[in-house]
Amino acid sequence: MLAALLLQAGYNAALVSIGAALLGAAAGGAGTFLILRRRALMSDAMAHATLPGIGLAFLIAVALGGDGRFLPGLMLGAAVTAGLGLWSVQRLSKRLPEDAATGAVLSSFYGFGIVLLTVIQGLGVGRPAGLETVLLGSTAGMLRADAVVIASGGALIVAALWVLRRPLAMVAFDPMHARLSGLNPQRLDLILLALVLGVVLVGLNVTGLILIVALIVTPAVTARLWTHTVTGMATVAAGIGAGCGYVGAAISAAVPDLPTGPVIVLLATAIFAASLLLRPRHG
Amino acid sequence: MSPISPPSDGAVFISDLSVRYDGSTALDGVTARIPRGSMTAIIGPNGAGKSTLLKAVLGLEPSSGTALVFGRPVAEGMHRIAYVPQRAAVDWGFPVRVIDVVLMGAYRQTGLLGRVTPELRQHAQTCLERVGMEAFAARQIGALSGGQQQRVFLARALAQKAELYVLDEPFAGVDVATEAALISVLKSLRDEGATIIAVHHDLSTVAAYFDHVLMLNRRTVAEGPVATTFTPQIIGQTYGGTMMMAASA
Repeated sequence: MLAALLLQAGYNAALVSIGAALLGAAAGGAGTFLILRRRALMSDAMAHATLPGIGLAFLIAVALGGDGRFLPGLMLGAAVTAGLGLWSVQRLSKRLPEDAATGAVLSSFYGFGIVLLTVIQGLGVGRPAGLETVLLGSTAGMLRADAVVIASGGALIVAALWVLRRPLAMVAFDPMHARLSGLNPQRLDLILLALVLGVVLVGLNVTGLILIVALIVTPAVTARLWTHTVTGMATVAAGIGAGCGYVGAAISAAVPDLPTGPVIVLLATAIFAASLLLRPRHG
Repeated sequence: MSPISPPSDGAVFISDLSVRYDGSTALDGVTARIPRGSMTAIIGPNGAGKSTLLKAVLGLEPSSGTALVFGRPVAEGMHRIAYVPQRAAVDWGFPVRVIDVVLMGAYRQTGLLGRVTPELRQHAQTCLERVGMEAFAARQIGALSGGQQQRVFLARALAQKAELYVLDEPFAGVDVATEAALISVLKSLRDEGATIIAVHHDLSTVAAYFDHVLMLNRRTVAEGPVATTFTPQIIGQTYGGTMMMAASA
C-alpha cells in the first residue's frame, strides 16, 4: 500500500491515483459553489439519473458489435439521462416543492437503471461483468485510457471553476445584484450544473454514482469550517477532495476487492469529523 | 402613440406596469414618472407590491407594460443602476468578508478575467469610509450588526458608481445612528446628481428624508412632490380607513 501511495505501484496505478486526485479537486470545488447556491441535492439526483443511460449505452454498444464497456460511450449515455433527470426536476419543481421533485426523479431514474442492469446481466451479451462497478466505483484494473479521461476531465473542471469563481460566487450570494452587474444568473446556474454533471461522469469509475454526492458535499462543508471566503472555501475543498481521491484510489488499488467509492467517502468523513472537533464554533 | 410620452429628463418612467402570479394580481397598471435627481419614497401598506415594483422595473420579475430608466429600456441601462436588497433577502451565513462584498459592486470594472487591482481595492476601501465601515473590511459579513450590514450594502452600491440607487427598505432593522448615517450618504449622492428610490415604511420620516413620493397599493394611488402629495387624505386612500383616522387625528 505504501508503494501505491508513493506512486511506485506501476505507471497505471500512479495514473489512476492522479486521476482520482483531480476528480476529488473538481468535486470539492464544484460542491462549494453548489452548496452556496443551495442546490446540493441536485447532484444526487443527477448522479442517480445516470444509471439508465449507462444501461442503454451498453446495449447500444453491444448492438453495434462492441463488448459494451466503452467508457466514452457509457459517459455519453449517462450524460443524456442525467440531463433528462435534471430537466425533469426543473419541470416538476414548478408544481411540487423542489426537494420532493428531486426525490421523485432520483428514485424513478435509479429504479429504471437497476432494472436495465438486471436485464443486461440476464441477456448474456457483451461483457457485462463488472458493469455494476459504476455503482460503487473500482479503480482496480482500470484501463490507462480511462485514467487519462478521468484526469483530464477533472483538470478541465477545476480550470473552469477557477475562471468562473467570481461570477459563481456573486450569483450564489445575491442573484439580483449579479444580474444588475451584467451577469446572467440562469446561464451561470446551468454552467454550474453542467460542471457538476462533468464531475459525476468523470467519477463514475472512481467513486461510483451512489457515493459521488459525498465527494461533492463533504469536502465543501468541511472547508466551510476552516475559511471565510468563497475562493478559500473552494480551494480548501478542492485540496481535501484531491487528498481523499488520491489516498482512496491507492488504498483501493492495494487491497483486492475493496471498492474505491466507500474508501474515499470514509476518508472525507473522517476529515469532516476531525474538523468539527477542532473548529466547533465555525460554520 | 402611447397615452403618456416619456419625459426626457426623467430617471424612471413607468406606464401601465402589471405583475400577475397564477391567478392573483400583485401590481395592476402602475404609472409613475420619477424625476432625475429626486429622492423618492415608495410607500404603501404590506402587500401593496412595493418590492415587486422595484424588481419588475429592474427586469428581475416578469411584468407587462413599460419601464424606462433614463429614457431607455432597463436592459440598456443596468450599468447605471445600483440595488440594495432587503436585509431579509440576504444569506448572512455566506462565507464572505466585508471588502469582498464591496468589491462585488465593482465587478463591471474587473470583468471575468480582470484582476482586482490595488486601485480597485483602494476604491472599495474609500466606499467603506464613506459609510463609516473602513475598520471592518476584513470582518465576516455575518458577524456584523444589522445596521453595519446595511452600511456595507450601501458601500457596495457606491462601488458601482451608479446614477440611480434603488433600495428596498434600507432602514428596516437598523439602529438610529445607522439610519442617520445612511440618509446623510444618500442625500450627498442626490446632491452629486444621483437619483434615489427607496421603499420606505416609516410614515413619520417621509417628509424629512424624501422630496418625491409614490403612494402605492397595487396601483398608483398618487405620485408627486412630498409637499403636495403626502397629505392625510391621500395617505388614507393608500392605507384604508383606519389609517385615515390616525393620520387626520
